[in-house]
Amino acid sequence: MNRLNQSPLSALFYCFAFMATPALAQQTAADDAGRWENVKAAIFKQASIQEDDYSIQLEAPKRAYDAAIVPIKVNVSLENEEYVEKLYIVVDNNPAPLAATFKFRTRQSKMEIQTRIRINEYTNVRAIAQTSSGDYLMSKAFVKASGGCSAPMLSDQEAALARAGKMKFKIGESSEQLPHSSIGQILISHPNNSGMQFDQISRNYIPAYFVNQVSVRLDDKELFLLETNFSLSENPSIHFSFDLEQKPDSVISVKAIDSNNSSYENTWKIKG
Amino acid sequence: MNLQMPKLADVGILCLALIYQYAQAQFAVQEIADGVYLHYGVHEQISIHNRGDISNIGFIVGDEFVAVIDTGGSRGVGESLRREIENITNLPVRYVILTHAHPDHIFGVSAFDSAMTEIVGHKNLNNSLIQRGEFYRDRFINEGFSERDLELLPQKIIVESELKLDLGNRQLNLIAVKTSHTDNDLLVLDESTKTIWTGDLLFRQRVPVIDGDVLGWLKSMEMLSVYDVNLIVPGHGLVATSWTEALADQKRYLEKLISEVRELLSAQGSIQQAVKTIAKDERDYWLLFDDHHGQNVSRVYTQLEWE
Repeated sequence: MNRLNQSPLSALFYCFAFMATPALAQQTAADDAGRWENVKAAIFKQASIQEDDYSIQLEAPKRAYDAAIVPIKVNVSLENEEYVEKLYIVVDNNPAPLAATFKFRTRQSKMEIQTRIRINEYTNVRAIAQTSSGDYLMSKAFVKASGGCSAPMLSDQEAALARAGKMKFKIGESSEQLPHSSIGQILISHPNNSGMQFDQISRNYIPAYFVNQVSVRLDDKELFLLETNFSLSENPSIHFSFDLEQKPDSVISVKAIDSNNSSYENTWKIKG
Repeated sequence: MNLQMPKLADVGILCLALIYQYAQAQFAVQEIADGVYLHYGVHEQISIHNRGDISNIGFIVGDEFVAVIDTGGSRGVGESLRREIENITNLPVRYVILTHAHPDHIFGVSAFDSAMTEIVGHKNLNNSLIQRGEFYRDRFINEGFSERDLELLPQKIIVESELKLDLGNRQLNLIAVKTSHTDNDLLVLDESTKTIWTGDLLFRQRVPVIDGDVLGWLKSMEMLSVYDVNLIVPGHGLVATSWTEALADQKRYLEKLISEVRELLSAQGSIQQAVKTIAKDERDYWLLFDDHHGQNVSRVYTQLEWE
């Protein structure tokens, strides 16, 4: 191998590598802005969206280790009794840019959401909170990752299909930003298949099969409804903050529906 | 810019042609046991300049037939291997055994397209190729490979659990393993020289890649040591002569990943913390650690959080 590196051929490798870069780089910056204008118009119509890193913070890795599992975290902190009505997660360059919409049913002015997404190519990821006073507040992060949406299922395919719909709930550690709230994590076992994998032999795409709705309740009230798609990673994971009332036993219940219209439900008792 | 492109593309094609010629001239196999030939892949990421020649591939010669074990990451690598076979024997290649569906092991397969030759693999191999073939192809094409480099052939012989192939006074024993490195790992044991080809069930020097079930993988490694062998050929890295020597580093790495991820999970640590902190001291032991370790941690975490 050393011989190969030292040979005059290495100069040729560089010339080859060089060919593609300048043109691509120029294209990307212009494309990014244009792409976001289109995506914004499609999702938010005429709404004015303000970047506001004080009220909303999105954390995402600069470079993802695995494009099929990119963890993101959003914190929102509003003042003057404003609360969050909806939280949108947008991945500009994904085939389905609107990755998730959380519709909150309780009035929270401070909150945290975490999930894991697929990323198909280098892209801006945006978290946009729609507030009770009608503002749209945005935080964004650029993530270097590619191939996440067409990426195949991660591991043991038979096992993954067999356990579709199994769920798990965990109580996590309270975060720095929200010391008085509880953090819950829902895990839903599901291939969350994008339908973008091409079968060479049948010349067809493998059908999409993903979770598109998750409703989370605390006792008799719904905390939020999540509308989503294959932009969430296989085995979707959702962390959310909530306030536990001072009573001995509360129940978290989750109902998930997938693109085949199968629904999955589960409940867990938690201690107050 | 547009006017310059054809010229640059021509330069690119010239580059490729030279690279291919040069790489083929450099391609070498060695006889590691009587009638058992190995070509070592380089410890690099797949790129057009190494032609995807990054995994260990080789062949075994019987009295009547040749069996190829893995084919490299492009048709070019497969052709280089085929040429080496033709230099050594006139016997036909009867079987091409694919140890699993990863692209650096399979994309050379089209160099062995012949009515005489059958493709052999684990019962899950074909499904994995269906799910992933196009994804791998796209990635390779982005790297500069051509469509022709990446053709696949249909699998003809399916190994459910165990299968013997006869090369003429020479038995190969093929063993399908439960989900480990991938869900389609196959072992090849040459009974006459007691040489075992582990495929990527064993990585040496180069950091292991987890794409199946890390707990299953450890179990399969325990199972491996029941085979009485003289020579162990890993999917990546140097041959070894004993299981203890062969497995030590990989066992330590996987066990450390598992125990540290479990510890972090029980302390409610996040996946972000996991990729930042876990098993970093393993960096000194492995090549290409930074390319794969974070992904390994992320996969172990998402597997073990279901425990």
